Amino acid sequence: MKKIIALILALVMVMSMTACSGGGASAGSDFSKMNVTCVVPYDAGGGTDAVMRGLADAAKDSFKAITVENRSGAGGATGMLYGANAKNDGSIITMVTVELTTLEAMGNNAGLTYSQFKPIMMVNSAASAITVKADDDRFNTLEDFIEYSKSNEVQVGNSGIGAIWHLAAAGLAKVAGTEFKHVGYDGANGAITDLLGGHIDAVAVSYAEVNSFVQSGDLKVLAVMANDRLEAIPDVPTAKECGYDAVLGTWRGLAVPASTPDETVAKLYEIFSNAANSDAFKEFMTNTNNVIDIMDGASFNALIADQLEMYTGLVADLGLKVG
Amino acid sequence: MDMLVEIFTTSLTPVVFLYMLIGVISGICIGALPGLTATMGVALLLPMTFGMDAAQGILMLLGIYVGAIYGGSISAVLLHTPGTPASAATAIEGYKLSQRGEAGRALGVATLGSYIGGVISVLLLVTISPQLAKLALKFSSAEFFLLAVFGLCIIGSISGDNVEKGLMCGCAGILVATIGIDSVTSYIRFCPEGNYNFMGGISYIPIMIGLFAMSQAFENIEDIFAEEKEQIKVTNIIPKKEDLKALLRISPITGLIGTMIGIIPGAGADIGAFVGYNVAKGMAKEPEKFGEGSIEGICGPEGGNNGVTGGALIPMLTLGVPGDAVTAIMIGALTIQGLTPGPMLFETNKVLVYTIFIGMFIANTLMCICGFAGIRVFSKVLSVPKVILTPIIFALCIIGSFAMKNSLFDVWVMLIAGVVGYFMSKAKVPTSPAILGLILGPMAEKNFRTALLKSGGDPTVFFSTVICWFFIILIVGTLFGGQLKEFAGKIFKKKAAK
Amino acid sequence: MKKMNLIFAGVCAAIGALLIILAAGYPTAADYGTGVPGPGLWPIVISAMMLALAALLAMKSIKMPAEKNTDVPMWNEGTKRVYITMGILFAYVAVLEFLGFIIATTVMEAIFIHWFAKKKPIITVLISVVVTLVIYCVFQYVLNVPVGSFGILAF
Repeated sequence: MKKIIALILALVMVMSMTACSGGGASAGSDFSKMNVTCVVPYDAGGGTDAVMRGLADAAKDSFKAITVENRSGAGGATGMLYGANAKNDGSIITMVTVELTTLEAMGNNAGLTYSQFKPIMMVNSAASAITVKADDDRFNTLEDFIEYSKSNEVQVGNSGIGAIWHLAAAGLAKVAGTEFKHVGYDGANGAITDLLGGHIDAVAVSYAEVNSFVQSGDLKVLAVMANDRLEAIPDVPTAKECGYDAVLGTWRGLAVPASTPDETVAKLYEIFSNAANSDAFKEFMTNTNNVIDIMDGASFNALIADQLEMYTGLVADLGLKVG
Repeated sequence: MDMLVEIFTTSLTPVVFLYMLIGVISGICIGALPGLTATMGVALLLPMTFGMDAAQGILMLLGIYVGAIYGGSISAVLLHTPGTPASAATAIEGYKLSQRGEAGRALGVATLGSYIGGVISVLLLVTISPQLAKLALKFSSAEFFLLAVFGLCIIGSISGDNVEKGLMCGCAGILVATIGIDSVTSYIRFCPEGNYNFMGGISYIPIMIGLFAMSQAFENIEDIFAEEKEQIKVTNIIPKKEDLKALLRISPITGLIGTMIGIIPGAGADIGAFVGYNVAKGMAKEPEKFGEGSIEGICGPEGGNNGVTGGALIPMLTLGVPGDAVTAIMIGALTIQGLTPGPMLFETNKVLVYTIFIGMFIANTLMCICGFAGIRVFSKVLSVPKVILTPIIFALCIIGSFAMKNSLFDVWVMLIAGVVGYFMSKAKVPTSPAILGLILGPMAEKNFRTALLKSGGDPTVFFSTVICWFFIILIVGTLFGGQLKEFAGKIFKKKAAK
Repeated sequence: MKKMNLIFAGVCAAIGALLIILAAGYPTAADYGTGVPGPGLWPIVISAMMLALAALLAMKSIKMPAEKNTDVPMWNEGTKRVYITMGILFAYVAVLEFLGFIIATTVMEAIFIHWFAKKKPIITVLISVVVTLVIYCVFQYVLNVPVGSFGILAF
């Protein structure tokens, strides 16, 4: 009996000891005294992860500590659901991506919806770049590509069925009144490798992902599905200029749970927009071929709502809805 | 020669050596902890390289990579806990040796085998990487499918006497891997309604920790109150003559095969190790010892998995295409530095490329030195009494399976796999086929269907290239090799009789 | 052994049959029209293989000569201890989410070490606390794994 009491006493001691050390986390919204966690809903080492880590590095002086956490799974739903249901004091910030809308449009969102979040800001966007082999004489312009696809089978690689680059290619086909055969891979890398080996005809991934091969002269970009031409490739037209009104691509931004107070969100916006405008972050993004595209919380929210509607329509047209 | 001077004066400075040493040591530690893979280790330490220059950063990451692939074997041998999936094959033989009190011998062979495999892959990387790199692009869905099927054939040789049970276990592994969103049609399979934990699929790392480590810990509980065996001194760390012979005969070959597997995008060290094990069994002087603690069964997978490290760099450096998940992160590390891996790198940044070549060799050497120097330290684990060690293993299994995706769901998966694994070992069902099925099953299925999608449903796509036929011959050879040998032997005997 | 083999074959056969029934209802190649086999094909093929193997194993086991049929004890001192251990671990994981890693793990370690090692309570507690804190610190701070992100006190 004595032994058991001693055991319990010791345990209580340990608990109270550790409780003291961890208790001071909820110090209002004074971020300089706060540990902040940024949730990335994808694996470490990917594009979303890189942008978040670069931004967190640029913003690290405004917090007591800032850590990046990867919670991948279910196409991003796992991490975003975790972030949406987190504490509402601004201590857990989630990097939301276009999958916030596409997952819901597809019906495999597992209950995730954008109204669970209050967006802080959009950080970066990347348009789909229709890319083919450089020595492929069949295609020199996007028109060639579209016209060819009307009478022949064209295999377009993407980073996964139902993922954004699949929907982007499908969206272009819909606008142009043609059809592609979509081949899904696990991530953009597999698609690009297969294109380099000549096993498929084109890929529809972001420019950042094919940049090195375009520079080495192995691949060429026919068009980008952005509003404006990209700085890195000023000679490549947009799909709009070619007569196909398709602006499709991914975007990444920061968000906190919907119940977070507005003043906390405003403070976070100030911190992160400063970080995003810092030279260090700009250089980081240029090196990694990412485009900084800042948008405040309100317009970001409107954009998300718009995109959800657009993708819901697109998924319905394509018959991709699963759940 | 000028280049060498330039490399050693500008990029391979003592500071770089220090970074590499840090990389190798942290790699070994990360690799040895269950649940933390080489990919995670490299990803975790990637932000540290942001502030370094390109050579420093990439060489430190290479150190982690090489160290982690080796480090997984330490816990595989000592605790039956493969630290990374690449060591699952080593755990089969290594732990048996360890139980016989030959942990030192097993670790010594594993260290040297890893070194040989790593060095072979560096040699290939330096000498013929541009020629080999083209091979990577020849692989498409049909070839990947056949490669995966070839890998699955290995189940036969890792099942010992229980081939049916091993195959059933492999099937179970493949079936578990089909849970979740099907990546070809995005159809959701075998999922409880609305449970997003299942939707993303069940990852194999928690299952591996459960099947190997947790079930072993359960078995230890059975006779936990038995007298502790007298602590056998860790001896024979430096491999003896006969072990050296086995090493020199098997590891270079499996290192070569590992390098080839590394070159193929999407096939990593885990597959290299299992193929290495299979090849070693084919080459073994004492194949009957396999499954009972065979030194040759350690030379094979260790040469194979470290062979992958250099191989995976080949397409990364020459084509800008990652050879496996780790090199995919390294490409990211290089781009952050403003460098573009690919053919241009050899022209624009020759010094860096050769620094990487030499650095890779040094990283392997550091790994070998750290390994041998550390064996006595690592083996101290065995001197912790079982009554304390077993509860610690429980905690490590729990946290290791959590660490992968920071999800408690994975902890449940691990625990259930541990219970299943315990009963499986009671029923003498080998558990490693399940891991092979989990790794290769999805690869086989996805590529089988993608190949048919691309060909519009025409099955001749699987017989259309030389590489396809190469794998078909390998598969037939693996499945019916024994019978063919017997048949040929009979004919030969008849002729001799005449 | 015979009994164990038959149980294993039975379980595998049951799972295989269940999966075939489930997968038979999935869309087929004809529904997609692109030449891609439906999501049900692969699970059905593998399950069928597993069924065949289960049948083979069952046949072999029934024919198994008696002298090879070693007995596998499933209910003795040792195995009972394993079942209790499993129960404790299941309970531990169940409370992990509420209690947080440090408290739950310290208690779990203390229970096992107290049971197995039979040391003085103070030493038992000391070992469990040290082990838990070392694991916690290595993963939380060195490896950046957010072990301390759940539990009532968030550590």
